[in-house]
Amino acid sequence: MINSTTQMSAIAAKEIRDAVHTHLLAILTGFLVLAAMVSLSVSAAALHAEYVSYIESRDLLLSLGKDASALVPPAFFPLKLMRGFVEHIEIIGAVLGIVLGYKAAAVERGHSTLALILTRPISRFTFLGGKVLGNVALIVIGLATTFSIGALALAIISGVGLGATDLLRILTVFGMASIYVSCFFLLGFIFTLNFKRMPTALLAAFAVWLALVLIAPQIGDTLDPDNQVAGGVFRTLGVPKPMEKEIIKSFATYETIRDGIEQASPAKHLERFSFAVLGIKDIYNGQPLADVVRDRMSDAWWLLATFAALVLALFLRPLNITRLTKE
Amino acid sequence: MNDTPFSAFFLTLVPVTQSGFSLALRDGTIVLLAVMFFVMVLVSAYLGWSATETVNAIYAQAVPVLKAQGMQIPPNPVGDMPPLSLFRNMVTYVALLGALAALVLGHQTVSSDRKSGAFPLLLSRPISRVGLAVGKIVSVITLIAALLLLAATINVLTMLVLPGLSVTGAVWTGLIKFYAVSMLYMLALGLLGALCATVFRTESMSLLIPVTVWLALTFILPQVTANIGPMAALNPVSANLVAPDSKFFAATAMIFGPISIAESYRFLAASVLEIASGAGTTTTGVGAILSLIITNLVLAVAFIFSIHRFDGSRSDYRD
Repeated sequence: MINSTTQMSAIAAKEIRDAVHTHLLAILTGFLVLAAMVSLSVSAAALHAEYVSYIESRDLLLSLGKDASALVPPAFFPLKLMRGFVEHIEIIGAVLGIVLGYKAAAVERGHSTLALILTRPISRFTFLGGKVLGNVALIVIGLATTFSIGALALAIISGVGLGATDLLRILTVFGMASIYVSCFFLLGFIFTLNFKRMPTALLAAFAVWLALVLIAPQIGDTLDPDNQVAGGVFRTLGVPKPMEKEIIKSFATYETIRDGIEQASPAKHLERFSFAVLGIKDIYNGQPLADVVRDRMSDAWWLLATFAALVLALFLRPLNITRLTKE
Repeated sequence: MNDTPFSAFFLTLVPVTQSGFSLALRDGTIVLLAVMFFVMVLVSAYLGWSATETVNAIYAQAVPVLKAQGMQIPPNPVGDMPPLSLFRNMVTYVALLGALAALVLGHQTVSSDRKSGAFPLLLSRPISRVGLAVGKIVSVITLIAALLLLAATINVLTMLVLPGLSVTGAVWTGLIKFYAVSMLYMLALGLLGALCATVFRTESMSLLIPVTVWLALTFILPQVTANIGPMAALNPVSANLVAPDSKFFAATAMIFGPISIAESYRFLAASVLEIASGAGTTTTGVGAILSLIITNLVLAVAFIFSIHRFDGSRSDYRD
């Protein structure tokens, strides 16, 4: 008798073959790569513009016989150019996950094969496990392609070769991004398996995506007093950093609520972890990777716990026989 | 009975509009997105008010500290904030929830007829296809207008409830202008949804393609033309910062600016609410409004054409 591992591998392999045949993975990854490339190119162009502006200002001051030492040249850290890249993974990567989850369930419901499969000597665990394995592998392939092209483009655009440490940092972010996108795959998969109408499931998953990826961080960001004034409220007021920290202390409750709203978003956890690892967040720039990961481990745990909770929800919920067909 | 194409057009228009309206109200997804939109409309004024109050409180605490340090006291940055800027978050919620609700609404207006098998029946009757398409457009316009009217009512009520707001005639005019601009943007997404629901053979693709276009309009194009990062695009203040002064951004703004309708909407809405701080380097008020109007016209014509060419005998989706 075929053991469940073989069955699971066969289902997983079929998922990958189907995605390759329908070009779904290529289309979704292509869109993600396009967004990532746009982001890297635009960040490089913006940095170049900043540098040209610095040179012009310095030359003007020098031509007037003034001291230009007060002007600070723009700092260049190649990994900082990945800010928009990570943000696109947060937004478009999550959509990729939802679409894969939708497709994984919809293809069986659309062809009415789901009910047929479950009449065979195959356990529900093996069937769902195979689906999850296959699609997580697709996510890893899609993201690996995006990150590889991104890293290559970063090296070419910046003109600076990436060192082993830089690559390790990118690899760490890639790992966390895979877990994050897999969470949205599970969300789309669970919804499409259980909703009466499949398009409603897709739209409901998009509604959750809107709430968790876009609206929760937006509310947190909007409530940040430093984002209420262009350039930052403390900078506008000319308040030095130590004083800023003192003043912020008296808004502890407000900050806790604001942070709580942001914490509800898995996208924010991926962002905080990635920005720290890549040194985009200034306080982590130049710090050893192990120290940064240790400091941001709570964000990694949040993402892992979300993934585990969704896996549990998928496997513990019995498949509703009335939901196994198209409508 | 008068059988002229003109009368056929009007005989088709009214029932199609009515049917579109009742179908949308019965659709759970549209209702869900509409409810989410209304909740955020309700929250937006509070968010704006609360954030402004916090900046005021920070200023009050910073002044004595700065005085003690012998530093110059700058003016309160929120001192000259216009009252309508309290609704700055509405720009984001219309661009996210409003746009997605409009897109789904436009989509459902057509897809419900395709799935129910009403299309082959409709098209076998002596009705005007143009009338059918225009009827669908009128129902999308009516539904989006109803959505925005309800949102505006919520805004007005919150304005009357929140303390410390001086509501003048200019504020009312600004609010009307804001909703007029929002209508133009949401209608473009509604028409895109209806067009995709007509031309694609699978329902999944007819939903995914307009969502992808919306993603590109909201998060990719603004980055290309003005260096507005995907997450910064969600913040009503940082989404309006000046684009870097360089040949690259001048060229991208010239090429992609006219089709970057999310940016056009944000620019116009921010100008009306008086929160624009720097945008304008990539677009102008006239350019932005023209871009929205032309997009709507092109999409409306494309939709009418797609209904005209639609094969009624193969109307149901393949998936």
